[in-house]
Amino acid sequence: MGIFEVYHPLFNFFLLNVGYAFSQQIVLRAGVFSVATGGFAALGAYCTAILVVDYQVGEFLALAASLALGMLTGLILSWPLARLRGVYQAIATLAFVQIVTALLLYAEDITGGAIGINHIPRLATTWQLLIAVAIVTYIIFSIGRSGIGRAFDAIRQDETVAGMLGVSIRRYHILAFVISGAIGGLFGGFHALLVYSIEPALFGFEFLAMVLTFIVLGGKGSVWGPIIGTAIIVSLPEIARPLAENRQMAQGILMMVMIAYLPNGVYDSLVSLIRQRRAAKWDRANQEKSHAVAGA
Amino acid sequence: MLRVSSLAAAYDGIEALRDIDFSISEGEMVALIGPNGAGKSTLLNCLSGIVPLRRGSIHFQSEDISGAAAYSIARRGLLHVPEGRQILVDLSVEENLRLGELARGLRKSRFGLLEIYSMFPILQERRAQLAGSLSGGQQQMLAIGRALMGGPNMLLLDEPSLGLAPLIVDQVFDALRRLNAEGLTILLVEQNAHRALQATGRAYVLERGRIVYQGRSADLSSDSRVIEHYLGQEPSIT
Repeated sequence: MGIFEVYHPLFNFFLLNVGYAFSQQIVLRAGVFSVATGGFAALGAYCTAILVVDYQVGEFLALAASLALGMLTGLILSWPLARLRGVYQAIATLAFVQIVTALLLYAEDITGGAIGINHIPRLATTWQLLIAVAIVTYIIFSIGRSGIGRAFDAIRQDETVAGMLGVSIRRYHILAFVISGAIGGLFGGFHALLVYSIEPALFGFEFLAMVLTFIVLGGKGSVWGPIIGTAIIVSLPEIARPLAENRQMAQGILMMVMIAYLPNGVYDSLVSLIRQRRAAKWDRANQEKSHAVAGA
Repeated sequence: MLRVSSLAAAYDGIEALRDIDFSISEGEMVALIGPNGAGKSTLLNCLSGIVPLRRGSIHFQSEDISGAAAYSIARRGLLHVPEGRQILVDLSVEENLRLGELARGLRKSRFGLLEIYSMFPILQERRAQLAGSLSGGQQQMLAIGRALMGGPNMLLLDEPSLGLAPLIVDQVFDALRRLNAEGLTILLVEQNAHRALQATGRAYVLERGRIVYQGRSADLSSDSRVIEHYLGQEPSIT
């Protein structure tokens, strides 16, 4: 138990970030280059913090409100953004994050401006986080196995073909934004209930880069990619002290190496390697079979 | 089943199709032949909603589908097997087939995985492999199988013989003839005019964006003008 106590805060931090990673993954899987997760998280965090601190709302109700707010924001955001593609989507969602953080800075009366909200009771427990992560993992897993996941895959790989297959790209992009917003909002709420104080700068560029790194590192094809990617990034500073001191640089180098050599992420690359091996083995077996027939 | 009247379409401002009129009845298998660049693929893309119409109308099962989005046309059961197969190479064979179900919606399909696998047994053997690892012929079978999973009322095929060995082309055409015999309406675009005219009952010849000949496939294959233009030199590659 002693060792777990030491790493307990780290484990909480890991679970929180797995949630963010799923929020980021679902849009990427649908072929949407959105970085809006930071904005959803910021809205969720402030929503829960304000409800709990200023209005003494119970933590579950506050978290539910954060989830609903994220969902609604995702829905509204998807309307103009479903028309954009690729880098334009990235820039537009980046602008959304900036608008959110700017609003949080300016609405000082409600949000505390640059100082943020302090003295938030630390109400989130590891069990709650674990359950939330388990539920979200299950939902993402089920989506991946269902027609929705297949439609996302089709859109990501070729929108024209997806259309020919009867997939309404707009409808699925909206769905991806709504799910991403709901997950981002919920875990933003947990974030507020875990770290005592929040400020707009928490959800700025560094946040965005970190969440993207989880997916680039792990892979976007399955539920394991985000979990593995998050585990690596969260544990790196603990494994080697120098990495913690140069966290940003280490992350940057890791990103560049990954993109150059394993663009599909650790997990997805591993899976496709195994599949290729299996196909090669199958081909060899077949060749031997046909040789045997020819020999006989 | 399908009626196209005075259709015109443009690609990048250049008029690719003009005054296209034709119709296909239920249960027919019709060929659309013509040289490279005649507009055959563009016409199919118009029918499936990928290329917008400039003029004219398309009626499918007596519903006006001119200007409808590609996904909604597919969901009505007018399914397009695009040129170059366009399967999703990162997904397995079976995942690709399951993708086809998305077009089905609430309609029923005669074709499930079992039917597709019994039609193309090689797909069953390779069902767990990445679609990108299949040969060209197998990919074509996969593309046809994927469309069938969507429960088509009519199938549009763009160059199914492209780049395939003659033996594989035979297999693909056999499958198409069988499907047609079972009642599926098919519009077949081919550069390989010999094959297309052998397999179909009626044919249209497209040239520079216009329909220049039409008639029974058997008559067209003995028509001197058609022979001269499209059958004279047996295509060596396709």
